[in-house]
Parts: sequence; structure tokens; C-alpha cells
Amino acid sequence: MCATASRKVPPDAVRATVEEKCAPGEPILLWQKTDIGTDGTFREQWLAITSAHLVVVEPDGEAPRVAVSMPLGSIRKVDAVSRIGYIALEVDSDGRRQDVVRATNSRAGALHQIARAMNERDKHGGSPEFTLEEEEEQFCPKCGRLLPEKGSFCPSCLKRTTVLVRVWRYMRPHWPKALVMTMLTSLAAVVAIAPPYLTKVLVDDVLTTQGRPALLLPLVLALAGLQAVTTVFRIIQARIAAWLGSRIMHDVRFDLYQSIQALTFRRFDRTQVGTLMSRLLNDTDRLNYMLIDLGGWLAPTVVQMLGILIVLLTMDWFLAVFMLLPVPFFIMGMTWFHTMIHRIFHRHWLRRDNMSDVASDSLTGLRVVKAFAQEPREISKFSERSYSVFRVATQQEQAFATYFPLLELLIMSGTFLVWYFGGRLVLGEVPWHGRITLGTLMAFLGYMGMFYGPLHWITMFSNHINQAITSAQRLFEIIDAEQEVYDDPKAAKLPDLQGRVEFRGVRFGYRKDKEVLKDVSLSVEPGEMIGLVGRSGVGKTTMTNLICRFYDVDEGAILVDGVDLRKISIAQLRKRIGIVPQESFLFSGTIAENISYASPDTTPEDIIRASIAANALGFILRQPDGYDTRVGGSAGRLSAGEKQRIAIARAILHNPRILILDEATSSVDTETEDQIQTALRRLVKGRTTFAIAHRLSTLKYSNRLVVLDDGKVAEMGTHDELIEKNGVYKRLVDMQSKLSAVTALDG
Amino acid sequence: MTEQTQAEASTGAASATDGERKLEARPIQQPPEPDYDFLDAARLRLFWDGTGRLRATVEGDRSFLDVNVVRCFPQSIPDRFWALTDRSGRVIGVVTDPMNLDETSRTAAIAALARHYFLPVITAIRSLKEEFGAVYFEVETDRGPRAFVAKGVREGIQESEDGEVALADINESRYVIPDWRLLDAKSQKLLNRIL
Repeated sequence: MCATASRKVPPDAVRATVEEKCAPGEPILLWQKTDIGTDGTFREQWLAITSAHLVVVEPDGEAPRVAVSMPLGSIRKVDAVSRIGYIALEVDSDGRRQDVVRATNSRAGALHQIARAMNERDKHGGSPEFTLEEEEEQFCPKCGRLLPEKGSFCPSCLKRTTVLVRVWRYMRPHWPKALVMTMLTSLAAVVAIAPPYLTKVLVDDVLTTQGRPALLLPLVLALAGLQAVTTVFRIIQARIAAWLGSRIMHDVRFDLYQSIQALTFRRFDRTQVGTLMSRLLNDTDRLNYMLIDLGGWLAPTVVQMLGILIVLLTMDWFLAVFMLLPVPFFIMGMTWFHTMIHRIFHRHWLRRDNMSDVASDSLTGLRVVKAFAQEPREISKFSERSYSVFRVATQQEQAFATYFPLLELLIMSGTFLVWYFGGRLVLGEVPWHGRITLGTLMAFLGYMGMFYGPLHWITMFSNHINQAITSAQRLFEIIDAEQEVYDDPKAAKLPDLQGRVEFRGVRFGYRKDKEVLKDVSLSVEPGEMIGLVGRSGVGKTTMTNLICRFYDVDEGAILVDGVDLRKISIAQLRKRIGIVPQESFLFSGTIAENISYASPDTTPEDIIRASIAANALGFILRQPDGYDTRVGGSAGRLSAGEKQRIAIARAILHNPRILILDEATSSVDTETEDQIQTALRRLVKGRTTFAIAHRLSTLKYSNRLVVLDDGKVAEMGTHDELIEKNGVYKRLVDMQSKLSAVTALDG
Repeated sequence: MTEQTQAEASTGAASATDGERKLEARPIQQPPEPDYDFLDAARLRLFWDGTGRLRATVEGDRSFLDVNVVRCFPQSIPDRFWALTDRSGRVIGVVTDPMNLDETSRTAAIAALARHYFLPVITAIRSLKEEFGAVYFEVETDRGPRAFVAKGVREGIQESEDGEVALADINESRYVIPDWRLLDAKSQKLLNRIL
């Protein structure tokens, strides 16, 4: 018996129960575990599909129970039905419908795939063919924690050293600077240790009755000199660290941005623009802080602390023990304090966010608030949120006010111990320990100050480093993400593209569990204009996305001039495709730069010619700066119709063989639409065009209309042919006629 | 427009001068009636047809072969305003007061609702851990024990002013705590970390 598709292995008892229900040797084609029983409680169930049966078994210790068993021959249809909070596999068996298994949404993808395979089993001789694609992991296979994104890395199991090594690789080209920085760091640390020792000499050998007063000036000068040298070293070292940190950040940002530009659309869909921006700005900043702080402050400080520790242990191990006594307790206390305060910070952040949500809502909608006289309600809502911020802010500040001094006191206890026992050593009151000088005690106390000072920053630093390493990994994740292959050497070049486009049995879905296009076939001749018609969400834009190869088809193929799109260089293909979208996007720059965006080397004559064809010259010349008018971003005040005509001029100049008009006239008034229509008719001439429009009248110049319904081509033909057919298109036209009659009267 | 106002409009048009008549003569375009409306519970019959489908009949009007029952206000008014939809989700009508349905219809509607909604009610929180932005829950629910992960406090957890807490896990499965103040002390303490 062989299992061909399975996400998990069922318990032996479950397998045996299924085998009992089947004929000997009947292969089990699929195992699927689910997590809700048909009684509506959380429980494990196993769905098994053999070559002849569908069986559902509920494991109940050693005696599993068969919940459902039916021959495949009796099953007419299988649906994966999404309900509120769960998904069910609904089977129509001999005219009777029932849920055979239910599961939480985590199994939605699997159940959809099962339903599809079951419904297509006739294609495979009556036996379903399961090729369950492995879904990307949501949880870390090692520690079980949630991954920040499916198939991403686990922040807990992250190998920190690997990430640091990779960051280090960015530093390699700048190694001479890094070497100078390391040397200065070590030197500054050594030099900084000397002053307390000189203090000891000063107290013991100069400031006593038997001392040598002549040494006073040289010693003070030496102290000042050492301080000056340390300061100079530190300045140079911190300046190099700042340069290195910023330079590495520039290199990382460059790699990151290059990768973002090349990301596949699927990856773009998965990662929101906000997330990418956050990586570009926040994560690089965090890494920058680490590099600068690590290079500029932490490294020298740690080296210095180690040096001090060695000096103290050499000076007097007995006193050093007292000095070190409170350190472990202090570190434990700080760690506890950080965890606690982090939680309060987080709550504070959440509540402040809630408060600003309310404020931003009511201020943005101030006209509505005032128009409905709802000011008191908005004020009371804000006051409530503000009060909750006040409570958590107090809690946070009080925690700081209470625990910080207590922790200070704890670490200071080391100083008191050293004063007491050191004092007794100076007075010679510890019989088993030799006497020490007052200078030694003073130097010891000086070193202690230098050691304790940075201690609580260092305990905080581990947290910062962890955050920075996670940030670094997030950056590398995008840098390493799947990218579009622009210049595949094996890809076909199409210098003389004719513009013949063919969809051959295309199936596609943005998500595996939701197919948008279901077996679309269509052949378009060069220069033909196709109007794509259908309800919202039926797959019109999806078809054009596939032509541009923003996504690859799941099944079937799209051919351009008889060559599979996947075998054509993406750069070549897109150079020959032009798009006029619904909302034209203008980049920051002049009108001329925007028109020549895809063809920067073009001449002013060509730009003007394109604007004339796009009916754009008139309004461009009405701008005081003509073609040099700055638009896009915060500049410029062009209307939607004007922007649209710039986009059309851009497309005309680009001179594509295949043109996509996606609702190109939907955001403009009738008069402007007329002008744009004229411009478009000039644009589409001689080009293979796919036009999408809700207003069916705008498609009247199409050679053919393709009507999509339920992800398939439902009808195809000219306007008149389709009206005569009295099908989906006729219904859409009738609905629009009614609507425009009402609009005309209202208007 | 009511019948009375329509009548007034036509009388007005008849007695107006020529110039005015041109204006008045425009045909009055009635907005299309909505496809659905409130359904009279007394005239509505709901029953399972023996093949796993719920059938709805409005007495003296129409019959619908395969319907679903959906709550208009699942949280705030769960026991009133139930809508009937067809299999594709198109609304057939709304029953304001389902308690006025006859016994059989009401039982059938309740069974359909039970099939449509899966919203476990959390009765106790056994463990709550927040790590790397995700919140890990181990809870007791009225549908049995469950462990789930919410993606961040902001995205997955919503608290209402009346103490209700709605939680959604990373796969958009939902859970509800009707009033967190009524949970046991340990659950409240755990929950308080994120509220």
C-alpha cells in the first residue's frame, strides 16, 4: 500500500482502521489531518482518500472510530466551503450534501486543493491525483515559535555569529580603517587605566610628610597628558567608527534597494510596502546604531573593563572580591527590571497608539464630527484613552523612579564594603593580610568607579545587539529573496515582436486556495484590440498582469509570437509592453521627464509629438513652466485627466507592441473622457491592445470583446454579436443602460 | 415616492404652463426596488429537505431551495436580525425577530447558524507568552482546550469598552472572551499583560 500525498503521518491505529474499510491492496492516495470534529469541538480527525473510498477516522486511543466512509463513485461534487471561523469539506454524495471534515483556517489551502483534485478525477480515469504542494512553514521547525512571515527565519534560533560574520563582510573592503580603529581602541583602553595608578603615587609618595613635593607638577602634567591622549584617541576612533558604520549602512541600503526593485510580485504581495520601507529605514538605522555604538563605545568599554579587572585583581584580590560581590545580583536585577519595564513600555506604546488613533480619526473627520454635533462624544472618547495613557505612563515613570535608585544602592554596596575592608587594611587591622597604603585604596576606589559606571549600560546593550542582529537578518532576508530574472542568458530575445498573444489553458490564483483564472484560452492577432469585460474581481486585471509577467501562470502557458513568456527575457518583454493604468502615477520631476520616463534619450520634438497625439499639449502649455513644470510627489496640481494624458503620451513615446489600458478613463469626467478616448484611439492604432473598462461604451472600438465570468471566457465576439447572443454581456449592458439613465436624470 | 406624491406630481404636470410642462414632463425615474427586504417571520417556513440543504418558503410568494442563515449583528444583537442568503452569498431577506418563527423553522435556523459560525468562547487562559511580537495562547474554550498564536497585540487582539475581547489567530480563526473581568484571577493577570 502506498501513500502518495500526505502532510503528516497518521497513527498506526488510524491507518489500520482505514485499511479495514478498503479492499486489500487498495492504495491510499491521501492523508490529511484536520482539527475540528463535525460536532464542532476541537479534535483531531484524519481524512483518507483511497483509489475507491473516502474515509474519515477519529483517533480515540487504540480504538479509532470511523466517522465517514463512502465510495468515491457516489461522490458528485466536493467543495471547500469557507464559513465564519473555519473551513469545511462539503461532499455531495448521491444528491445528499454533508460536511465530511472541518478544520481551522490553517488547513484552508490543503482542503481547497483536495476539493479541486476530487472534482477533476474524471480527467485521471476516475482516481483523484493529489499533488499537494508543501505550504511554507508558519512555525519554526526547531523551536515551534511563529515565524515573522511564512517561510522566513526564526528570530530566536537565528545564528547570531553567522549574521555578524555577514555584517563583517561588508567591513572587509574598509579593513585599513577598521584596523586603525581597533588599535586606537586598545591603546585608549590601556592609557585610560593609568590615571588612577598615578593618583596612588601622588597620594603615597607626594602628598605625605615624607613625600617628594618635586614630583607634584610632573605627576599632574602626566595625568593631564594621559587624559589628553585618551581624548584624542577616543575622538579619532569614534570618528572612524561613525564613518565605517555609515559607510556599511550605505552599502547595505544599496544592496537592499537593488533587491527590492528586483523582487517578484508574489513576494511584493506578501511583504507590504510599509514593511519594506520599515526595513529600508528602521532596520538599517538599528544596524547602524549597533555598528557605531559597538565600534565607538561598547568595544573600548569592554576592553577597558577587562583591563581594570586585571589591574584590581593584581592590586589586591581580597578587595577585588568585595568589589565583585554585588555584580551578579546587579546584573540579575537589571535583567529583571528590563523585562518588566519592556512590558510596561509596550503597553504604553499600545495605549498611546490607541489614543492617537482616536485623535487622528476625529481630527481628520472634523467636518463630519461638527456636522453631526458629535464633539462631546469625541471628547469623551479621547479623554478615556488619554486617562489610560496617564495610568500606564505613571506606572512606567514610577517603576523607573523606584527601581533605578534601588539598583544603584545595590551596586554601591560594593563601594561601602571596599571602604570598610579597605579602611581596615590601611589601618592594619586584618592580621592575615598585609597593610596597604591609602594611595592604593584611593586608586582602587577610582578603578571601581570606572568599572561600575558602564555596567548597567552593558546589561542593556545585549538587548540592543539582539535587536540589531534581528534587523540585520531581516535586511539580508530581502537581499536574498527570490528575484525576477531579468537577463536570463537562455531567454529568447524578441527584437521584432509582432504582438501575437495566446492564452493556452491558463490557470492562476494569487493564493493557492483561491483560483482567479480557471482554464482561460484566447488567441489575439497582432494589432487587434481586445476589450476585457466582466464583473469586478473576475480576473481582467489578472490577465494583464500575467501578460506583463508580473506573475507566472500556475498551469497552462501564455505565448507571445508563439514563444512561452517564461522563455523570454523579462526586460525585453516589458520594453515592448506599455500600460496606461486607472490612476496615472507621476514621478517627482518635470512633465518632460515624466513623458520620456521609459525612453530617456528621446528628443524634445518626439516629446511634443507624443503630447499632441495624447491631447496633452494644450494644458501643458497653460502651465507657466510648460514641459518644465514640476509634478509628482508634493509638486504640481494636475487633474486626474491631465495626469492620464501624460501617461498616454508616455505610452505613445514608449512605442509598445502590446498595450494595456486598465480602466484608463474611469477617473475622469465625460468631456475629458472624450479627449482621452481620441488620444487612446491614436495610441492603440497598430498595436495589440487589451483594454479594461467598466463603462462598456468605452470599448466600442474594440475588434473583439472577451467576457469573463467565474474565471473563464464566457463569451467572445463583437458588441453586436454579443447583444444578439443575449447572454452575460447583454445583461451587463442592460444593467449599465438602466444605471446611466438614472445617473443622467440625477446629474 | 409614495403613491400619493406620485399622484400629486402628475396633477401638477397637467395644470402647468407649457414652459413648466416641459420640465414637469420628464419621466419620473423610480429607483429600482431592492432585491431583498425584511421577511415576515409569520409567513416564513424553514426546513431541512433531507439532502443537507436548508429550504425557505415565503408563504404565497416564493421558495428558495438552498439557503444559509447569517447573523446581521453577530456580537451585539445575536438573537435578532437573521439574514437569509443563497449559496453564493446573495441576500434573500432579513428576519427581524426570529423568535416569531414557528418551532420547526426556528430549530432549522438555529442548526444552520451553528453550522455557519465557529467562534469558540474562551473560558480560561492557561498560559500567555509574548515573544518576538507574537502572542502564544493556551486556553480552555467551550469547544475544548486549544493552543493558538496571535500575530502581535495590535493585529490580533481587540478589546471593547464593555469588556469583550476578540482574538484572531494567524490564520484568521477567531476566539472571544465575552467579558474578561469575569475570568478567573490568573487568566485576568495573564491577559492584563497585553490589554
